[in-house]
Amino acid sequence: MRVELEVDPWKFAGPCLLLAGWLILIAAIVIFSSQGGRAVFVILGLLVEMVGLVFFVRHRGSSTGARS
Amino acid sequence: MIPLSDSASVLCVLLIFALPFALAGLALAYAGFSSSRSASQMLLGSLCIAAVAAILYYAFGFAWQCYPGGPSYALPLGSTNWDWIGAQKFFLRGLDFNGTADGFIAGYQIFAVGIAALIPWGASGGRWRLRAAAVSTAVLAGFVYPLFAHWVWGGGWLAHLGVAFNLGGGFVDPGGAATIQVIGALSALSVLWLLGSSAGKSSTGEPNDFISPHQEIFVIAGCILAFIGWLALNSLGAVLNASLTSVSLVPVAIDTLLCASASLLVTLFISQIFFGKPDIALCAKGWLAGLVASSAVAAYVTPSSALFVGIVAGVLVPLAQWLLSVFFDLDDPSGAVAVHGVSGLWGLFALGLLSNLPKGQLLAQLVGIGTLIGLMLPIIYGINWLLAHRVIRFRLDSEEQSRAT
Repeated sequence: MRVELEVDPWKFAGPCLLLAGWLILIAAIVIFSSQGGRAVFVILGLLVEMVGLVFFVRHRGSSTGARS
Repeated sequence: MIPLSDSASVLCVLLIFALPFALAGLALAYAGFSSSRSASQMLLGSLCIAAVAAILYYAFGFAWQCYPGGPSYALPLGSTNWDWIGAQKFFLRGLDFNGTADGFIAGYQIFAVGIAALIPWGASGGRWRLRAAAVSTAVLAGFVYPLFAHWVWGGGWLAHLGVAFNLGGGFVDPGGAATIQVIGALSALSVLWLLGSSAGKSSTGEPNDFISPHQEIFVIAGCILAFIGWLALNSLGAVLNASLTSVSLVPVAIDTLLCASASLLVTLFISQIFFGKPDIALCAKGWLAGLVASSAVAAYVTPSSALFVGIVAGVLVPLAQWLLSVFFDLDDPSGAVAVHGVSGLWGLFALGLLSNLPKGQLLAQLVGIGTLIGLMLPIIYGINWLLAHRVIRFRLDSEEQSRAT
């Protein structure tokens, strides 16, 4: 039996990537003790957040639900 | 808490009394930026929003924000305790207004939370149902703002990045560029996404935001009033959050003025190039953006650095507003997201770049910026999405907008 999804799964990609970026950032400062290692992963975390922001903007769905 | 000296206490009281100028200035500017039929609705709404924010912050917000050294909940993770929320009593119980810093922090924050709550209301430009705005403000002032404010100002984990992980002085935000301005701007961004464009406006990616305000006098008067309020905001932040003494406040005032002035003149120059004449709306946004950026840097950088921060803020505001309009599909005529969000983030980054704080400060600032975008934006958007889709209708239709005036 085929089940139709009512929600666009891409909608969740943006927030998930934003949170993933933040977790990378936190993991970077907890795991690494050298400032260089931390800097690389903090920048990586911020880049993931930027990608997440793009997904967020592109797939957040229409705003019409808020109007009805 | 350590009691403040008598002179510092008097100064704090005077500065707290000057904070409403920032609220009045922003309310007036936002009324000027909105359409003529929404102006009175915007002004009345601003009063209501400030009132809801003050009551909710008094009831719950301060308890969860708390103050450095106050009671709090911490999550032990690894060798570090991640202090994540305050545990003060509700309704300001247990707080003695006897000259200690915690009493002044409560007085300062009850106005500051109103400024943060006013930003999304101003961005909505009269499209947001006042009841929905009040509910959203209640959540912002009662929980979201205090949560982040605790991390930064209440002895939370962002403030302890310096001690726990050797990252400079931890995440530093003396005047509220992150806690007040960026949190307000993220709320504005979420609300604008949920509200959609104004009736009759295209959402096809046309750069449609360089529209003259309906009442330019309101906008300019608002900018002047906001400057007085911002001097108080930055000075109070410097005393209470950065532990500066009264005599150190003159450089704070100089930095605030220089930052705003540089930003204003750069936007003036840009509007002269693109429109052939000074554009009042853009210049006002430049002035406000300079004030917002100064909230991050004024307590810690030299006047030359403040001038540089203002110049960059002046370039960023028109650029950000155009990009937000084209790529983020934002209908934000007051430029709230560009002015308070982008400029605030720039100020926080510039603090790490230009201040003399210990090594690792830039990294601490980046962690703070990453937390705002990566954690606070999904939380704020999620809460507003739930409110809009499950609790209360957000948007006024055009007939209701006409009746609201």
